[in-house]
Amino acid sequence: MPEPSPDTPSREAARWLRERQRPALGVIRAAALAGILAAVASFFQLGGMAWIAHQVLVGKQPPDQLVAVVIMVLAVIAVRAAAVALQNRFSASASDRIRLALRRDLLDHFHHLGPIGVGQSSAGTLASEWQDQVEALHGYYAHYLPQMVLSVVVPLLILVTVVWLDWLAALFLLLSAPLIPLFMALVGMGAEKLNQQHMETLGRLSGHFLDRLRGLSTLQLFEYTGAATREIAEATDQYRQVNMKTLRVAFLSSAVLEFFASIAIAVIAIYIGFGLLGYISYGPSPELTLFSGLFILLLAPEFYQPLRQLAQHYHDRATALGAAAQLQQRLATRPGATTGSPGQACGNRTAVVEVVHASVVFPDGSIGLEPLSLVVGKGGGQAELVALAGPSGSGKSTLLHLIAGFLPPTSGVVRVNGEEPGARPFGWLGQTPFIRQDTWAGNLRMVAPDATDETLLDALEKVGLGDLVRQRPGGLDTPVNEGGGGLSGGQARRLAVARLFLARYPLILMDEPTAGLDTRSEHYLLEAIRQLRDQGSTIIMASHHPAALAAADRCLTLVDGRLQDE
Amino acid sequence: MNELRPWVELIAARWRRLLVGGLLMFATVLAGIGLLALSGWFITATALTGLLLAAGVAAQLDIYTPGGGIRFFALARTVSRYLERVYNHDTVLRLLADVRVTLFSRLTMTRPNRVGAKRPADWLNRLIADIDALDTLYLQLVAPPGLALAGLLLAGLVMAMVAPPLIWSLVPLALLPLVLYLLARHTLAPSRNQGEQAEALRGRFVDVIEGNAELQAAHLWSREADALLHNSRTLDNTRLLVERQAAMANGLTLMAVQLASVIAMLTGLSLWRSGELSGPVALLFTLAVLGLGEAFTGLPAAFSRLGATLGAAGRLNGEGESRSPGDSGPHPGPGNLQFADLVVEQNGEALMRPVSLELPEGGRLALIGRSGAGKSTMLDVLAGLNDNWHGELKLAGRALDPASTRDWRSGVSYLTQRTHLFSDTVAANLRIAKPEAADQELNAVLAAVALTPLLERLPNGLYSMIGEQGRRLSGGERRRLALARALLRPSWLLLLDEPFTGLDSATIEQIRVSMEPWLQGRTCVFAGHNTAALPGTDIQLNLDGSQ
Repeated sequence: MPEPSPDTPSREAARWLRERQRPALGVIRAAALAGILAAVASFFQLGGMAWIAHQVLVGKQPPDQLVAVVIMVLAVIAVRAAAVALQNRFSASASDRIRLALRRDLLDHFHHLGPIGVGQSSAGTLASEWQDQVEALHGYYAHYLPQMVLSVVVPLLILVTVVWLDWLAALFLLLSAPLIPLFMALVGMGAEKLNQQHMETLGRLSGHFLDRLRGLSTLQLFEYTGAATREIAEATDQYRQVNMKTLRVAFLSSAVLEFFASIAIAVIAIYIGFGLLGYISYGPSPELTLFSGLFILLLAPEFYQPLRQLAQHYHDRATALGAAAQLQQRLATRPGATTGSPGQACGNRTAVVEVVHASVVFPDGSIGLEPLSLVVGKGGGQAELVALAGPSGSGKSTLLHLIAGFLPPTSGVVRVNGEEPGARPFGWLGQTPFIRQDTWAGNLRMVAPDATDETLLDALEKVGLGDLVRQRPGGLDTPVNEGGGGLSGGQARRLAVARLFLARYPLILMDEPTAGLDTRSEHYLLEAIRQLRDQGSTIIMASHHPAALAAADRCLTLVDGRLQDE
Repeated sequence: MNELRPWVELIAARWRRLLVGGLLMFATVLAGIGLLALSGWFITATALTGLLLAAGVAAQLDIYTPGGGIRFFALARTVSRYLERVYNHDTVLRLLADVRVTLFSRLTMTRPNRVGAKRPADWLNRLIADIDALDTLYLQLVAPPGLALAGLLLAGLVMAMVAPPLIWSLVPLALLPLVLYLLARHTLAPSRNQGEQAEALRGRFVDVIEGNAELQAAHLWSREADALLHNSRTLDNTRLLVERQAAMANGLTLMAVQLASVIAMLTGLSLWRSGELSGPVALLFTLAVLGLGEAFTGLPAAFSRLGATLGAAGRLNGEGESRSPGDSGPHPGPGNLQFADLVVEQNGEALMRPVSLELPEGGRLALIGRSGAGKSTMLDVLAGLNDNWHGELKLAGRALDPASTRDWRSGVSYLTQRTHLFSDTVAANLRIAKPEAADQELNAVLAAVALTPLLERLPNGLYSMIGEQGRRLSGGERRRLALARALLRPSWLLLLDEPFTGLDSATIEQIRVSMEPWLQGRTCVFAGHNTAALPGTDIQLNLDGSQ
């Protein structure tokens, strides 16, 4: 196609949506089949009813002679109801499976990206993708996709049935059939526009509202809340007026669909009526009976029904496309450094950390670390506490990430205990430690499942949290967030250090462990770092803090990605 | 169900619109019924007349009136559908405004720090989701049962007048709401909590993502990720339960409508045989009942949404429950402030050494310390946002508890570290502090914080939009705009938390001098890392415990 299509991203998102249906393909087909079964059952039901009416009114049979047909009609109604229920049920589980698979893939992807890749986006953004955007796909898989199949198959089946009954009536339907793709496009355009407009308005409206909600504290501090409330009312009303102007036009497309559906019924009814009166002597008309006439009339609304439902689910598609574009992009992100050739195994097994001529170049070409060599924790069993100093941006964190294995060296080799970095568990202490929504014991036993309560309390004692836990009604079994909105930043970091005492890692990496701490937390933390070293853990700590630097056995200074002479 | 009452009452204030919208929906259904029923009548009548004609009987049928009727209903349906959609959409947008305004004004009654609680983003997300759930209250929850009821009543009335036995056909439809309610009952309780569950799950997810370095280091990531997926299944299963219930409800609704039409047909035909009804009228009712089914199609969704909507309403009712400050304490006003052994606590631990000092009226105090030393918490106490402290605080010699003193905040201007700039004009952002301020005054206060060059650069000066959270300004400009706003607010006590963050030293030097007139006569408390980052002060208090 020569013309450049402007909707390529949305086309790509549509393809991605189709690809993602793979884990539930069978269930989606089952849903469509159930929908077709419901349609076929409805033919038998409506045909049965027309037959009964014909036999009683024209054939003058007493209704009790038609018991078999009545039973058939009732049975078919039951089948139809069951098929509709099944269709919905299958659709729901299809969507559920797809969303579960997607959420699992996202988590795997985050694992693969590593802390640096994940750190590129805010946790809030990732949360909204993992929850809300994945959820936004539901309507597409559960409603739109099965309905898409039905809106093609069901009208076709009806057409075939009506041809069998009276081909001229079928011709009326057929005449509107070429209009159906047109309708679909029309509905699509109308619905798309409607949806866009609606979303845009809601977005702007929500934007204004959300902005005021976010700034609620500020409004309260300035005692401006009354005026702000009035402004919200005015803004919403303004948006409403603008929105309605567009909607009045956009709703016309659904009115057109409604118009054609109604007119088709009217035309068919009048044609059949005239045929039955014998006014039309052309084609199959003289053969029309009450049975065939009524049957066709009953089928006519069903002809348009699937299409109308599709229009209702059109916004599901638009919502899903938006979400798909975002999710697709997320799953395509790559880890954030240029990977070099895998370093050859080298075997200095006596050193805890060995860095040989390792450098880091970021994808944008900027240099993270100049080639650098370093050995930490030499000499059997003697743990070392090494501080990394230097101004911000000098490469302290990059070096830590390299030793942690979060970042591959662009050149050179990094070894931890003679193995790839990250091959064995090690300790990491950053500024936002992981705190589980769990009890104190649960948070500690994460790393030491078999530890006794005394051991746990002992570890908490070392970081000055012993009293706090003992005061809680359930002691160690109290949820950490009980009693006033969770832990303070300092308390959370101390809890993470208590975990380090329990885990007894041979290597612990710390990134600015004392930044932003209250005095008490800082005191306990510095004391704990020394004790951890004495307990046998080699510690590498990036820090600005003079007291932290003073506690180190060795202090390395980095400037512009280069190691200064010791 | 009581949770919904305040919201139903709220939307009921627009009862005229709701009624007209409902009538339009009803008119659409009626036009559909008319189209089908009249067509059914017409076909039957023509078939029977056709037979008579074929048998040589001189029979007559007026075909023009019913033909015209059919065309009328076809057109009426299109028109009423269009009007209904336009009108009701307008209503929904109006109701949306009502819900938001009501909720917002309730939220403004809370203590400010509630909004800044542990996970404001999660709270906000849940709040927005709950508000969205209530936006559809009318169209999805109130209108469908109303429509079904109206349809049922009208059909019953017409049948009672024409042929009472036909009323039997309405039994399945009349029983349907009860059946749907019984079906939905089991999912009410679990689906009520979906909002809380989603908020908790979001919190857990954020925990795992933020602690991801630590987890990957300890080789615990996979375990926590599995736990997270497991947690998400609880929510999924609730949703699946509701969906399955909705699937069943859809099937049952279809069954009720079709059964009703079969009963109507069989009853009508037997009435015809006994001569009480004509054949065409018997079929007219059959098709009318089929058409009536449209009035019931909204019911399954209404019942399956009920639980989630009740939950959302319940949670929103819980928002904004305020503890209004009592009348205790002196009338707030200028005076000297005394601190005696004041200690602020957080999570059961003291944040600082006890503070004792006296700040005379019009005096200036600098709180110095590293981040985390408790400076902001101390300012929060003075602003009346934090009552988690003990010791003694006195204003003009009388004991003071800012958090429970009525109107305390009206005498205070407080620049917090993370103050919010609104997506609005420069002037609008400033006038939040002083709505009656003239342009001149705004220009003066902007000059005091060295923002005059910014005004000259912006296309519309004071009336230029600054973007969401002030994104069109640089970080330093944002901070200075916030500072200007705090200075502009008429107050005797001025609290500035790190007022000069992100500014270069030359600008700081300039502002320290130019803002001086705005500090005159006020009692000021500033917080910062060192005195160089603050305006001039009389008293300095170092909160770093170890030094």
